[in-house]
Amino acid sequence: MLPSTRGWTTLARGVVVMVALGGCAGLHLYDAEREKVAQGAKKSFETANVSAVIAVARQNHAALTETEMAQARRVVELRRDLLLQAIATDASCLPPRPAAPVDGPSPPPGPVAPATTFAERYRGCIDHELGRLISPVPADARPVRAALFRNVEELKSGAAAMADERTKSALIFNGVTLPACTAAAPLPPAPPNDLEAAVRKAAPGSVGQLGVHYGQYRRTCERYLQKFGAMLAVGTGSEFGAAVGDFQQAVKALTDARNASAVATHVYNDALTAYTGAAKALEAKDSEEARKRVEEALDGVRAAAEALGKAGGMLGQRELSADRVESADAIVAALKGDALDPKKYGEETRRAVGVLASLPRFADGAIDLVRRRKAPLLGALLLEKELHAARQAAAARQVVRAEERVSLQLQRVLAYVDRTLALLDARRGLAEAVAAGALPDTAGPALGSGSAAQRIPLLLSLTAFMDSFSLAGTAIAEAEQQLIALEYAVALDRSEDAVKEWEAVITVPIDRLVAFYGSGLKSEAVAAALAQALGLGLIGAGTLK
Amino acid sequence: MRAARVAFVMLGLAASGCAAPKPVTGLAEVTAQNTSALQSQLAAFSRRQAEISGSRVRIVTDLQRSLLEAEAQREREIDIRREVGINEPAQTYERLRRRATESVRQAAATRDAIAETRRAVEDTQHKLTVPAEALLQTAKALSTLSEALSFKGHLELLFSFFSDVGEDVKKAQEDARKAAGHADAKADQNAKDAEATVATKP
Repeated sequence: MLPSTRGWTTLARGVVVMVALGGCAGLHLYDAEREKVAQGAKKSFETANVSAVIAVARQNHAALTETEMAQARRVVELRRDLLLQAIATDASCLPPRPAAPVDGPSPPPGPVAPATTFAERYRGCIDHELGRLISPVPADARPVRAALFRNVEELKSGAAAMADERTKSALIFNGVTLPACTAAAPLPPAPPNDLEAAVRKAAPGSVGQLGVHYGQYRRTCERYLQKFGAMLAVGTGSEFGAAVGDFQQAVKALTDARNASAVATHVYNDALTAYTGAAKALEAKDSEEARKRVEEALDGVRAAAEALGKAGGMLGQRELSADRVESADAIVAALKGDALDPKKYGEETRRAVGVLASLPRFADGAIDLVRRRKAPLLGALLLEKELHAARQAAAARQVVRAEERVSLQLQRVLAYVDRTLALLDARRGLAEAVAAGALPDTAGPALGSGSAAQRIPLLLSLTAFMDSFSLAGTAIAEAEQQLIALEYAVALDRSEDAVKEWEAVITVPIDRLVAFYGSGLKSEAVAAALAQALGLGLIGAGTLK
Repeated sequence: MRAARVAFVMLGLAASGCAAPKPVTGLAEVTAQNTSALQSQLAAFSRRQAEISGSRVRIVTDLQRSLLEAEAQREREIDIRREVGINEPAQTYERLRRRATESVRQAAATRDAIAETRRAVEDTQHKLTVPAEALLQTAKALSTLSEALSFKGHLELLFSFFSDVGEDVKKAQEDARKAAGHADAKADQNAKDAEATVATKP
């Protein structure tokens, strides 16, 4: 039997077509040596485990933070003990004046500090602390203390009532919860549109009840916020006032960011809607005019995306990256060879194409992409997706950090409220003891041998004074330390995010290289073709991977 | 044979020009540069972290020194007062300090008791487990059933069905033949047995 020319012709045609269509990326000879090298690169990069570097840095940070927190507590306790010692030894709680050197010139003559009684010295100790929280320190602490205590109690009951209302509403409206009550974003008089829409969707039969529940919840929220504002207004002293200022500033920053992000998201979605209209027109009829409209629409999407990425800091970036990840997924799902499957090309895919076509990486072939002539290369698509997934995770974590910051600042403000209440309690107890009769001039007799009517309020006063350090003071110190630690953690987050982006730009190409070098025309395939051509029968299955 | 020569030429081209195509080597080159850049950045990060940690350790140590010195100073003052016979302020201080420590202990005990109650109540609650995997498999199976068979599928089904039918018929025929054979053999045996019985009768 003569060798058949049919086999040779088929092989030759195949080679020509593959070279023409796929270029060198499609056809190449399999190289076992290079495949081994590519696999080695993949394995060594996996072994490098670059994320572990950040993990160790986090462990170091956590250990140092724990030590710093413990030390901050100890500093507060030491201050308490030194003040107790001053009280017990009838010394002043105020910082001592620098002493004159024994062998130096004598200090200029001046008025000698008047001798004070125990009650006066002790009141001086309390007021010295209280002055950092309330300024000026009230002559009579009782009305201020009563008002603050009432506010705090009403706040607690208000918070419990709101939590009840929200739980009840979630049950009635099938999981839809009422919006959170925050000072930064007061609730509008009527239920917001998105809330009503959510209820209409989840519990259409209960829409009629929304107004009643919302109205009740809003009234509780207003009362709560009024009390909250009054509580914060007490903090007129330098330390408490600064803590309130920081808290209010952080809340405002977060609220402004949310609003800015919401507005920019709206504009971005509008730009994409305009794009899908233009893309549809181009799909229906290809013309210069239609192409121009698509280009303009894509410019609009690019501008809106840039604005969204900057809006509200991390909030806008989170929205934008999430949308790009979803779009990349939608395109991958609609891929068929190097084009998009017309059967899977719906409104969602069209929008996804608009999102991707607005990215710099796909800008050159944007029109072809829109016309569905050519889909983006899978490798480029996957790389883009990985990068945006990393950015989305980074932005989401920054949002969480911003919320943590607000939460810690609130914690610090509430600890200041506790400290104020404790010091006002100390003042109240001292006033009661003095009202029961004149106290001895020194601490020992005042605390040890006075009447019960004097000693009981006095000891309660001293306990409150000590608690203002041991409990509230340490809580303030811990919150402050955690706020500092949070900034270190944010810095570590940024480094970790950068490492993740680096990982994406290395891992994805390595995978593509492994895939490339693992494929190729193997000698067995050629042998099989030759055998077929020579009429010796197929000696092996095709091994073109 | 001309076609064979064309194929060899094309394969030769592929072997020489596309063994390591430019886009691929370019990708490898850029990725190698990126890997090297990552290495440098991680080294810089590591140095910065060491500096930050060192600075924090220094601050903690300095503060610790101040704390210990202040505590020692406090102890010295109390000791000196005791030594010169002024015991009352020292005792007052110790009493107050004990009260402060006791107050902290009570607050911690209250906090722990609340946490314990919460834990105890939470422990009575069983976690709801959603049979997600089973429901997913059910949905997948139903989704497959919801798709109508294609023409090719129908043909395959019909072919398979009638193949089965054919085989069943064949098997039934086989079984019937075997049964008939058995029946004939049994009838022969019975006849033989009967003859034998008659012959042996006196």
